[in-house]
Amino acid sequence: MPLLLAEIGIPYTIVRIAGKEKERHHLESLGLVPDTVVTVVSKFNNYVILNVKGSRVGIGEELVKKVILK
Amino acid sequence: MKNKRIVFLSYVNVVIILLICTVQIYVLLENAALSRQNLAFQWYEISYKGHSLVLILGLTAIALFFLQQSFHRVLKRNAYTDITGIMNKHACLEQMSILDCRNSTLNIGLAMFDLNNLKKVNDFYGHEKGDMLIQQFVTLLRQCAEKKCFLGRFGGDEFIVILESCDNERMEALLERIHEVIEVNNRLCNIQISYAEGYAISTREHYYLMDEMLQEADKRMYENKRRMKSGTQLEMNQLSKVLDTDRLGNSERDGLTGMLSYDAFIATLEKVLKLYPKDARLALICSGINNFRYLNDLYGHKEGDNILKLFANELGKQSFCLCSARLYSDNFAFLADLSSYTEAEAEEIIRNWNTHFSALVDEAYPNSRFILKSGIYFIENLKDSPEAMLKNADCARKFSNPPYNNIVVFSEELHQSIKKRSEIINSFQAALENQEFQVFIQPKILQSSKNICSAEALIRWKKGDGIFLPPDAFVPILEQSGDIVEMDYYVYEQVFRYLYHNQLAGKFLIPISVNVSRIHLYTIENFMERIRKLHDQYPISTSLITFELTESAYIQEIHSAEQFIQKLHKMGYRVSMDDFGSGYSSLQALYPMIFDEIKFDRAFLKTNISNKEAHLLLQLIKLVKSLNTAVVCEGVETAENVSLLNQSECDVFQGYYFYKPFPLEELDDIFLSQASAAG
Repeated sequence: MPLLLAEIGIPYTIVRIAGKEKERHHLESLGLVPDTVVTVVSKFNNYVILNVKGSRVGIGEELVKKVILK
Repeated sequence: MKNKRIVFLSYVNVVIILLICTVQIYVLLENAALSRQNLAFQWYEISYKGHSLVLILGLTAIALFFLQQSFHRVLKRNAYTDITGIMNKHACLEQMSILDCRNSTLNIGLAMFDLNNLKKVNDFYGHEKGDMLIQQFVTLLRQCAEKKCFLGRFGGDEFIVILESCDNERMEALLERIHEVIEVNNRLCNIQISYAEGYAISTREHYYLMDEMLQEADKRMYENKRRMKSGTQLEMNQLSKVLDTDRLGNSERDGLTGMLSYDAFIATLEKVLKLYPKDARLALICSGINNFRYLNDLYGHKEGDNILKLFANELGKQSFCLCSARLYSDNFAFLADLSSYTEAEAEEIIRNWNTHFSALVDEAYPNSRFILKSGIYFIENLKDSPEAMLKNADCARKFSNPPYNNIVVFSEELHQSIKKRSEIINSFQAALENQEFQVFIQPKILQSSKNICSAEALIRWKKGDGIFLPPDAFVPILEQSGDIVEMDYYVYEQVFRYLYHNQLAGKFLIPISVNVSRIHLYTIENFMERIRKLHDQYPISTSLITFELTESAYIQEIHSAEQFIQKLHKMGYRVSMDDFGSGYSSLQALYPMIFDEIKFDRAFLKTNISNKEAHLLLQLIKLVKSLNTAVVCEGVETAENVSLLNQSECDVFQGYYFYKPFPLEELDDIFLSQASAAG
């Protein structure tokens, strides 16, 4: 399921990163690579703040859609 | 998102214009109230005109706006609608991007369909039919799809269906519905729709973005397609390419029917045969129209040509036909792919096609009794030369015998008999010149004295390699080819000369009978002339010669046969009926009894004759005898036969029991020995 539908506070594993090369690269540079465990800290107006490997990352709507969790 | 804003702005625009209009109407009403009080009349009039103008302009603006909107809608619809009436690729992509812009693509299902064999349909039935097939498929899709579905034609023969808020069950239900509808359609239509399907649904477990969904559906569809293909007929891209290129070259086509010419056909055959795997069952079929000449005579050459065109057209529509050619006049050849059938089924398919086409022609030209005759050659070795295959198929066609046996499958026996036949016909002239034919003689025995009273001249073919051919092996063939005439004259000459030399030498003479082929009955004058010339050359007593005419020839050509016999009688020759009782044995044949002699067929004298048969034979002989004709019995082979015939009134015996046939030259010796035995 997409990151957008993730519930706050529950850890998920990233299955894959969809989208174009540029978007994937951007997300990877933020530490969002497959098999990483992430937790949604908060969500507002389709912006998401994530907890990835102990650091907090905020990403916007377009990129949020490309992250697919398990 | 952009679209929404544009629409929003447009609506604001309308509202503003509407506001202006309301204000203007208000002002005008006020103006009317003021003008009644005659205040500054002139100025108010101008303002009145100005306001009305603004009102008109405002109304026009609204009208124009709506007009523009409707134009815009039409344009957009046109740009997004396919020729088949559903959305085209642009619309599909846009729809997908709209869906992609949503928060998530959860529970969206995408199904993909691909028409199989559209290319084949296009190639064989024409693009018009191909378009019809697509249209038909679209209609059926629409019929099945719910209203909310998005239907689109993604490529030439690829269709997508997008279902929102979809789950597996709903998707399966849709596919099932489509399947049923197509099946019903296939039962009714002659062109079968077959399609491959694949779908993907975005769920929490398997989440897809739109373009991934498309890819996944596409992948599954091709898997489906591959599975279908491995089960059914093989389809080879190369094959269609070969056939395609040959379809394009117009220069090598037959002008009338548009089929391949002979050379092009052979070239195509060569290419196609190379492509097929060894175990493929391919057949080369030669078809001809029975009595096409009569059709031409009956309906005119133009209609005849139309029939040929119709044939080419209809043949092209058959799914088994790979490529076809018109060999000459009404003879066609085509290569058929019958891999999924057994030989018997394949033959049945060709037979069905023949009857189908005959029925078509019969419909257009009632009572034409149109018959197609075909020869089938199942290609055994794909590496054989196409010319040889074509020859084999053509051979088989020639052996068909309408209206009873319209289809002949080429076989090795057929090949052998054809080979033997052509060998005999070809070597005949040379054999005649090399004197390979020998005249044999079989004496006939008088019942009363058991002495030789006459003899029958027979022909034997001693081939160069020393093999004797029995007459049965070559006489029927020579009869068909017409060469029998020359052979008959050869025998006559030998017999005449023998008798003439014996006459000069003062030896004992016996009457000799010779066979007359039925072909002579067609050229009586010619025959008489040749006989007269022979007689001039070897003047012998004409009563020494008996001409034997078979019963079947006599009955079939009864009128000319009667003339023939009369003329021979006039010249003093005797005429005998050969093989009496073997064929039709009509008693009518006996009625105008113009034969000098009746020869009972050897069939009467088989071994183990029952009492009844013996009785019949004796009575028949008695009957014929009472007509004042001599009776000869052929095939006397056993002592039993002789004792039976001794009870009858049969005058003369002929058969192995007394003498086997021997060369003509030995007759003198036989005579000498007989004379010395008699003392």
